Amino acid sequence: MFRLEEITTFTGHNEAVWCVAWSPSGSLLASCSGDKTIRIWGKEDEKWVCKTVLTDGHSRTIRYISWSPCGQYLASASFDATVVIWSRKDGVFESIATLEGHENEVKAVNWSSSGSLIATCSRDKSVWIWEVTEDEEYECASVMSSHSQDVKHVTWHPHKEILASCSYDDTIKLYKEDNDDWTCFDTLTSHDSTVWKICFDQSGSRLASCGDDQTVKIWQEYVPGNEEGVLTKGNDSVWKCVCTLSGYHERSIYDICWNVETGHLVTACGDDAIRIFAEDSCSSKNEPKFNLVTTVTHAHAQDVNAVAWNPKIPTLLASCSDDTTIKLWRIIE
Amino acid sequence: MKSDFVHGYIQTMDAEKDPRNLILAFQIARKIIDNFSLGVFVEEMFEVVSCYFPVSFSPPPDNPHGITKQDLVLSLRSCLSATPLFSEYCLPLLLEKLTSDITSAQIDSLQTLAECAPVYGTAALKEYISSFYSCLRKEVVDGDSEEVKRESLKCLSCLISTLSTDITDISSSSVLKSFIEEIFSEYRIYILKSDVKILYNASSLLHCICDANSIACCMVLETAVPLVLLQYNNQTQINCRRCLIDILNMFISCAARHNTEQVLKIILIHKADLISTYTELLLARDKDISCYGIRGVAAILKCNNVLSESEAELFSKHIATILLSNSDKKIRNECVITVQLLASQFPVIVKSEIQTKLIEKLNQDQMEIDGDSSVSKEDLMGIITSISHHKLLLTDITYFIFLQLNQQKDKICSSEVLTSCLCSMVENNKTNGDVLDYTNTSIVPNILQLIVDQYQSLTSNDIEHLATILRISCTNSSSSICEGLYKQIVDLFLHGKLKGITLKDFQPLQNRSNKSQLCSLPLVTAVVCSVPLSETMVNIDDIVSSVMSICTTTDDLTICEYGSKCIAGLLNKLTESYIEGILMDIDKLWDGLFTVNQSSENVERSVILLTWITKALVLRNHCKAKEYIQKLLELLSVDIVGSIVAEYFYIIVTQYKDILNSEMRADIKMFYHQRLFLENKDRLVTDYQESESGAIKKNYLIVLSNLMKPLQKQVLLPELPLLLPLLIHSLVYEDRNLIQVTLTTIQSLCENKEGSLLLCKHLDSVIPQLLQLSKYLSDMKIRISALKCLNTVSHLPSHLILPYRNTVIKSLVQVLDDKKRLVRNEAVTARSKWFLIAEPGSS
Amino acid sequence: MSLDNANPVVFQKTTEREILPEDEDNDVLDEIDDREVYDLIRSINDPEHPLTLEELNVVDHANVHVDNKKNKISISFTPTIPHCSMATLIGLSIRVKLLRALPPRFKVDVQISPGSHASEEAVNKQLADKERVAAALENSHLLKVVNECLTIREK
Repeated sequence: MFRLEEITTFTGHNEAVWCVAWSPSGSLLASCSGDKTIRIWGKEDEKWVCKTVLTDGHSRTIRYISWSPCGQYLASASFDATVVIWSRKDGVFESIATLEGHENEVKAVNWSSSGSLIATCSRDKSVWIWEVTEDEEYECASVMSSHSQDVKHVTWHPHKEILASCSYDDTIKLYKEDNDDWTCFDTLTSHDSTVWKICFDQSGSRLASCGDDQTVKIWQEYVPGNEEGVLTKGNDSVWKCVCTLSGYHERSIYDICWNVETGHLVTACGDDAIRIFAEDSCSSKNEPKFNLVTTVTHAHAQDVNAVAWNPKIPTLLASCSDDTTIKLWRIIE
Repeated sequence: MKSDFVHGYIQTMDAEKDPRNLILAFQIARKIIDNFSLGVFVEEMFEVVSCYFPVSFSPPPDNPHGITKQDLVLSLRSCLSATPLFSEYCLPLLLEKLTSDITSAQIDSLQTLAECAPVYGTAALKEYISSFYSCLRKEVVDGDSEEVKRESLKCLSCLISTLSTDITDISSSSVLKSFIEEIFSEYRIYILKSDVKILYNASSLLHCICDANSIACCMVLETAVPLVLLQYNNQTQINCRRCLIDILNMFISCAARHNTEQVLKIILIHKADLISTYTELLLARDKDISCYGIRGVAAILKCNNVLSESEAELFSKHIATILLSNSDKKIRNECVITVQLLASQFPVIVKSEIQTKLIEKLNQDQMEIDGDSSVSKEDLMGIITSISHHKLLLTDITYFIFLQLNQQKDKICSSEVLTSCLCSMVENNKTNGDVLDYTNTSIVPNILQLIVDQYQSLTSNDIEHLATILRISCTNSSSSICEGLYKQIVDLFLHGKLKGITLKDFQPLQNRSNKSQLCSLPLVTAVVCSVPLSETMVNIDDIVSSVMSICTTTDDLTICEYGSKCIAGLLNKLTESYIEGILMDIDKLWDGLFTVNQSSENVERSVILLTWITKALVLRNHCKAKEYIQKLLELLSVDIVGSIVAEYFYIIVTQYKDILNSEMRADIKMFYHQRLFLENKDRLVTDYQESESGAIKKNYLIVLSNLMKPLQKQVLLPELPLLLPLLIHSLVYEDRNLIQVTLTTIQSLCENKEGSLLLCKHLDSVIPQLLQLSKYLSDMKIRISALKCLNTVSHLPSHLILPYRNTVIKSLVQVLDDKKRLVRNEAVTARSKWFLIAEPGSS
Repeated sequence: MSLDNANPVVFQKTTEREILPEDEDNDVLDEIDDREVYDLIRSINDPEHPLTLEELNVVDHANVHVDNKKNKISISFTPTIPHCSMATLIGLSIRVKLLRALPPRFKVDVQISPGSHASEEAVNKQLADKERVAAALENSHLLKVVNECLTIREK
């Protein structure tokens, strides 16, 4: 029997918790909330505790947080239109930079695999790329306004400098650097409503997306000259929707996360449930098949906003919710 | 000299700014206008006064001179309305200010115009009346402010009254008549449009004119009644029809309020149309629509002698049908109100056309009734009760009720419903001499017989209802009738004799072991404690000693309470010589309480009796009262007994319908609540502070809270700095009454400025307590009171309560899902208010 | 501010809910029902008229549905005119009122009655986006207007 067991519940935030993020080493969990604070959780003597609370960084809801690949920095995106970079030295976090430029709510921020680029997106319909200079300065490298609506999320390819974004305009877009400038090279349409979240798998050739239409979609990359004979344009790959998981979720799906080790997909849904999907043994690249392996109904008392697999312990999962709590779960097989 | 003086005064007053001087200046100006001839200085005098109109003044924060804006407004107004000579200057000024953007200026102008109009008179108003009206109409029909609307209508009423002076003939031409015609030329346009809100507002102008006096009413009704009827018949939209009939009903009600020959003549002209319209409405299927019909019939019934017997009969038939076939409460209430009016004018018709049919239905087999409609027999009894307001209507139903009560099986409904209906009928008609006669000659003897025959099957509620009837009889009848009743009661309960015949086995006061007979004690109390004291009250000492020994021996606490009430009622009234001996026995009872090793039932029995006796003496301010109260307070610190005394202490401050009230001629001294509180609070606070046991502290708090309950806020306020910390502490005790009283006190505190300041010092303990009590599972009333308190606390200065905002909002989430809707409603109100504290958009 | 719809038709108010004996019995469970939720929203003030949503017939008892088993509530409202620019604000007020007044176990959907507004889909999508609703409530200008709509007017 495959199931999720609740390990512990963190309380401390006073408003909805929007996002949880594990540090690259897997030892710290960061969370952010409508109460305008970030909390850092860690283990002390085998017990999970809140190690520190970062206040004063933002004047409105903090929507998203992301660790740099080295684990020394944390970036936070807020409805106050700014992104704050926090530096961690000897366990103490200090705000070192504020990225200003978006016109209104910043919805997400993420570091590229090298840690030298940061991408942000906002309700102002734009996606920004920031360059991290050697002396810890942050400069805007590009502004892309391909979406026609609110951009909900941006994320980087696990190895390459390829960026993906998704939006209230129901589409997903992929970007690459081209002659010193960033351009959108593919637009993925299939969702019927807002796409809330996108996530690359470990290989980077698959992308999972989820949204307001209560479906999960799996997209496959086809490189130029692929053996399936899928048409491509120039040197760019194309991405095709190869699988749609519908009928499982009862409300908007707010987050999806791909387990680096096991390949399990976990979703966070507005119906208060957490669900895990595993790829079928007879699944194939062009026609992947995913099975629902477990559902935790009432995982939280209200909407589940985010889920995150621990990068080092593949059986450890964190989730957070409108009910102001964060929970840790363990997979029991 | 005189004109020089006036002139001099005008110059002196000119440009005065100090509010203190202005108040005086206005008062002097009024005196001068009243007593001197203004001569050529009319305009100057007006100018020097009116330049302050409308008054704009806001006193400095601490208001050192105590002068308010309203003081200035009123004294200025008194000048403007002092003489008709001002009219030519004042009316244009008022007209201009009526259209002001500032609400307070508008209201001031309306009130000033209302005061000036009767002084200035019709001739002066004539030129301006149309312009004034168009301002008033604009406010009433299109305005946003309810307050301006209200004042506009009041002002219109004053204008109409002025215009109506000296008019006797409604048909001859007058300023009033042409003014009303002008109003109608606009009203005709409104009535054709289907805008319900505008039509209501426009009609309220006409209703206001109708209410001013009967002359104006005639002029309006002449045109309005046929106009509304016509439009009603032409209109097809249902909500417009509803609105029109509502407006028509209001016109008829206006006519009924005047009830003069002239007004009724107009109703009579349209009677046929009205009757056919209302008949049609009564037959309508739509419940709302038929409600309007029923209300219309009520309105027309209030017009004296407009309906003939045959018309009343027609309406009665229709209403009976509605009553018998409809279970909707709203419609039933409308019917009952209308039938009550019908019954006062046409009792014979109501009896034959309505009551008889309802009683027939009562007698019908239950099976048959279920077949056609859902009017339960309890509901039918209720309807009959509420329409029976005439001796003629009482006889059949009383006969029916006693028949049922004497029946062992197959009653149409419970005996409690029957006795309660009987009781309500007597109570509703206690001022009606015919009904009272009937009660004394027929109902009371039947009750006595019923007790003898059925005492075993009557419940305590039945006894209470029957006792109420006896009490009403004693408190409303002549002393000879009371004496007779007293004698019957003594005969029956003491000697076991009814109508001269000795009964074998009914002697409650002699044979004290028969509990179900003793349960009829309230009947004795109702009579012996209500009748006026007189020399002829034979056997009174026998009654006292019998009841006393019942109280001291029974093991049934209810019977003990019945007896104690009887003793208390008598001790409160009997002369000193009578009670001297009784009090000696009572002293022994006190001694018993102070000795240990009593069984707890004995203790409780004694506490009940002694508390009632103490109450009786406190009310008459007897010399022993203080001593007895001290004894009770002393007992509070005694184990077990203390908590029992605290538990029953409420008796002393509670007012009872069935004993020791002024209707029953009890001796009640003024301000006894205040006296009791002021004499004992210090001792209670000291005892509370000195006591070390929580359980005993609680006893003091319960007594203290009971003493506070009946007091006015003014009496309590000076004591609160001392009492409030104690009260808040009392919220931790698991005692519902205590908590309830404390919550009510906190609630009323918040409504008072000083009180709320005091409370602010204790928010740290009060708010968490209130939040906890909002989840008090076993009692929803406590949850509701706690939430109401939280709601009121939200009105305290926001900087003081802001620190608690998030805690309260978070804590109340749980209460939003309370299992009781009434609790949830309060939680929503309180939580919504807390959300708004110090937030943008909150006022 | 000029009014979109200067002379709205005014509808009669529902009478207050009758209190039954079982409502006062602490041992009886009263489920949250359509009428209770309707009572919560009918007194909301219209953003541009001195009238309530009920008086303007923007909300109607028949368009409130409560499913206690599934913890779902769906509400549709009808803007006074098809181009009403206040539709989103009205929807937001309803949403916020219910956020503050209902137990969080309920999932609430607030939508425009089908066919009653020119931008029906756009408005519905915005109202369903909880991120946007949350952001709107941090905008003090919008919050002020919403709070004014939710303040019970003393009449």
